[in-house]
Amino acid sequence: MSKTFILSNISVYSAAHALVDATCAAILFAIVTLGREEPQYLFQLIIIYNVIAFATQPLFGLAVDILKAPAYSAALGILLVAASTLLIQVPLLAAIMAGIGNALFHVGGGAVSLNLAPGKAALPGIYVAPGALGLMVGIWIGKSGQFISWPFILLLVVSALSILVIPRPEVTTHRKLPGNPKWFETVILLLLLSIAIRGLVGLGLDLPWKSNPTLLVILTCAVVLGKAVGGILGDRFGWIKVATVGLVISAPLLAFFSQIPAVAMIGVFFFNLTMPVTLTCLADMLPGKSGFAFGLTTLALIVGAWPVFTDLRAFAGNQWLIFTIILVSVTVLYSGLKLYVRHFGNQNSIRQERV
Amino acid sequence: MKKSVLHLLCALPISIPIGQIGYADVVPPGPTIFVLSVAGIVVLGVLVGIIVLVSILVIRAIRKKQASKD
Repeated sequence: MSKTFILSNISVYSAAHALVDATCAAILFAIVTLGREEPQYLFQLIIIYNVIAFATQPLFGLAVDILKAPAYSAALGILLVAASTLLIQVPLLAAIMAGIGNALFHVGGGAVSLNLAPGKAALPGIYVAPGALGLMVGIWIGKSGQFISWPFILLLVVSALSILVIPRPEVTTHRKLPGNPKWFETVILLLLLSIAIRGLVGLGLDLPWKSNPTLLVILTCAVVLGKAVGGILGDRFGWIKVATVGLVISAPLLAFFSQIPAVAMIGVFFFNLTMPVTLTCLADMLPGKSGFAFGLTTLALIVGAWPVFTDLRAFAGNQWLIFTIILVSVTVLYSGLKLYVRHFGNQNSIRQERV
Repeated sequence: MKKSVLHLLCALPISIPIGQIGYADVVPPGPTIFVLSVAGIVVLGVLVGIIVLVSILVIRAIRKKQASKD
């Protein structure tokens, strides 16, 4: 695939990702700002939206893989999100439609990014990274009470058309995994467990200074940069080195220095380096099922983050517990990646780990 | 048995830390707010559970397909 082809695809999908996440967040927070509903009902909407947007992705991903239509899924998802901006007066319908649209877009775009350069973590990382930026902007617009549908609809429709117009990558067909299938489920389970722990820590971490707008922007940049750079560094220096070293560095910074913005931001950057590595490794384990693989990661995230929505969230106040949880994540991720490289690794990952 | 399951569900009510999400403008101050009823938890839990189960079955099917290629 030519560089122009890859660049056009990743640019369009990354921009669309930021836009879709911004729109969904803006819709939800605009509903909240309207203040017509009971606070409890509004929180229910947030939870329902999150469960639909995150947990249903494996099912949509599977459908995308079977139909081999990631671009159509992404475009349909964008159009559903656009339509949901018109339904703010019917909050439940808007949240459900935005959730389904978000899920369809994510698995479609995820499958495309994974197929642009199979076995490489750089492009999936670049695709996922702008989502955090979109969320921040969307929340800001929604809370400001300035949400207007038509600019979002216009931008979303342009994004959907761009996705349908640009040349698409070939979807990787089934291939035989090398190595011993005995370890197949173990590797997948370990990768998903490490993602679930990342969801738990990522959402549960208490950063009280986030209410400062400037610090929030810098924090979001750290998240975006971590995800975008993680894949590039992983492909260059080896997945195991980058992912595990990143998590090890982040553990003390996030556990013991979360009150200090500059230190915590460095921790957040290193913490996010693992994302593209786990995603690409999982997709490599499930050849021809990149949409399903992408969906599994978001399902693991929402399952892992579940305690954060309950009174079990008290764990976030315990520094040593956070530290221990991240170290457990390091062990789980290291074991999963090591088993992957030993039994199933693609030539690129094996070569890099031997350097 | 039935009572103990309900007790477990009630012990884990879905609640949102208000400050974390930034709804301070619309919600009276307090540590958390109960959001979902037991029925709500069960419905969403069942939905997520079904998807997890389907995912496990798909993974196992992929593994069998891979093994059959040997």
